[in-house]
Amino acid sequence: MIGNTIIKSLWKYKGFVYFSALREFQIRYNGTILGVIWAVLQPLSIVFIYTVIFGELLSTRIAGDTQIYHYSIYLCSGILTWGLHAEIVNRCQVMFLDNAEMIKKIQFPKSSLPFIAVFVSLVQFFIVSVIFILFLLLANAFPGWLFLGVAPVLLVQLIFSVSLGTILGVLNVFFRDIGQMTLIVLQLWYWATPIVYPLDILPTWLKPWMSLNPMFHIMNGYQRVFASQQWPNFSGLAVVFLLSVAMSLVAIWLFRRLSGDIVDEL
Amino acid sequence: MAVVLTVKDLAKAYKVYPQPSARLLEWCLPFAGPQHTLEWILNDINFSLMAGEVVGISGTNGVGKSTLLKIILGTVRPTRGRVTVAGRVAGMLDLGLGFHPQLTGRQNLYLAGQLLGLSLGDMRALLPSIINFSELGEVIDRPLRVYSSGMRLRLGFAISTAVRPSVFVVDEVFSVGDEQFQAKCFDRIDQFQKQGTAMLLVSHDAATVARHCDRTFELREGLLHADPLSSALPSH
Repeated sequence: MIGNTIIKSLWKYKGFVYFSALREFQIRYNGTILGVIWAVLQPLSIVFIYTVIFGELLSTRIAGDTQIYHYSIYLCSGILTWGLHAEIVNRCQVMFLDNAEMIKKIQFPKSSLPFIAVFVSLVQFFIVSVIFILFLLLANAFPGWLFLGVAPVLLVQLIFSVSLGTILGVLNVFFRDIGQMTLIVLQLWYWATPIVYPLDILPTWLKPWMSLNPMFHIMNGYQRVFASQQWPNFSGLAVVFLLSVAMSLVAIWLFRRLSGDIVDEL
Repeated sequence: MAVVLTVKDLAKAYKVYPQPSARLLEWCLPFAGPQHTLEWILNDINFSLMAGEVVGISGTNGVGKSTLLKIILGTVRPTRGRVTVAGRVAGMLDLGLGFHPQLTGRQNLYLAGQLLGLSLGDMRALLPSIINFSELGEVIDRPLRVYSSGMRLRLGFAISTAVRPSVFVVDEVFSVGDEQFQAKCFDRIDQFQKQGTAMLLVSHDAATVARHCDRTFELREGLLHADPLSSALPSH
């Protein structure tokens, strides 16, 4: 029932979601000569840095690895998708604060804000993904049918990120410390997840603890598909899916309960 | 004449916490009792608007006029009481409607149109008349940051009145427009009024309010007082 009313009001404001996302792009790349190419260059530069520093200089290699691009592929599958996660969480976390004037003065469904955040982040992610896939095809490393395994992982990731971001976004209105904290936690979380390094290099005692990290299961899903050419580990993913659904319910509950207070506090 | 807006037993209080951590304490230890004090801005507001009526509310700064309008517009939730509207409320609480300085006037119009719930088709059809009303001409395709506040008012007023609402609320924004445009705004409001729109005009300037309104109230200490002057002044 809750979902139904949200979907209805969202459908009515779908044009607003679309135009707001478009506006974000216009504002971000307005006046630049390269435009949307910057969206690609940013993650590309990170991949380049890690490939050179970790891949070549520190010779991090995945065990039994012979293929020259393998580490780059492993890196990309984690960095690009983590980038999507971080972007959604960061955008959702500030969405009420950034749109304070509009929320106070114009009546529109505030629940459209997380969808705008997801939409903008996804468009950017898809642009980067197309480049990544082209690279895979050129390197003759495209996983074929296994590529379909990405869909459930991405779906779980989106629910997880947007729920987490919305919870933080609501709390951030009342406790501005949340915004500062999120930036630091995302950094730590990134390095606590096997993205730059493979799981194997961790000490044995630490490995079982990794399954408590929801982002490990998600990142691992992509890495299996692209770097190991295997289906994702669906049992681990199912747990994260349930967690994400629970978190989305918490996010909706929190938002509805505090919706009036949010406007008063902004 | 039909009643288009009813405000009944409306009251609004804001929660005031001594420091941010007090809220955390209140959330984490609900049994310890409330840590905030309530600051009452509005107490027991009761009034209704008939179709075609222009009602003004005056009051000093910070007395709660804008809060009242925001509650009527539906962005701020009342602590007690309720607002009933027959139809749609539109309003200008600001010069813009979520306008963005980097976008052009035209792009902002599209965005505001979406925000008002207009479809893209409606918007395309209405655009020429909106731009025409604003008298912005070629400036419409320049970014909003180069607009003066008067020009912003033109854009904002043109889009928010593109479709006739049942109730129209305005928060002292007209002062930034030049006289000619102010007159044009009131012309349009007159037309709407004849078609049945009720209008609520809010200003700290009692003279402005009295000049344009059929009835006026003064908001004082959270209560609406019927202004004794309003009956003495001829309605416009």
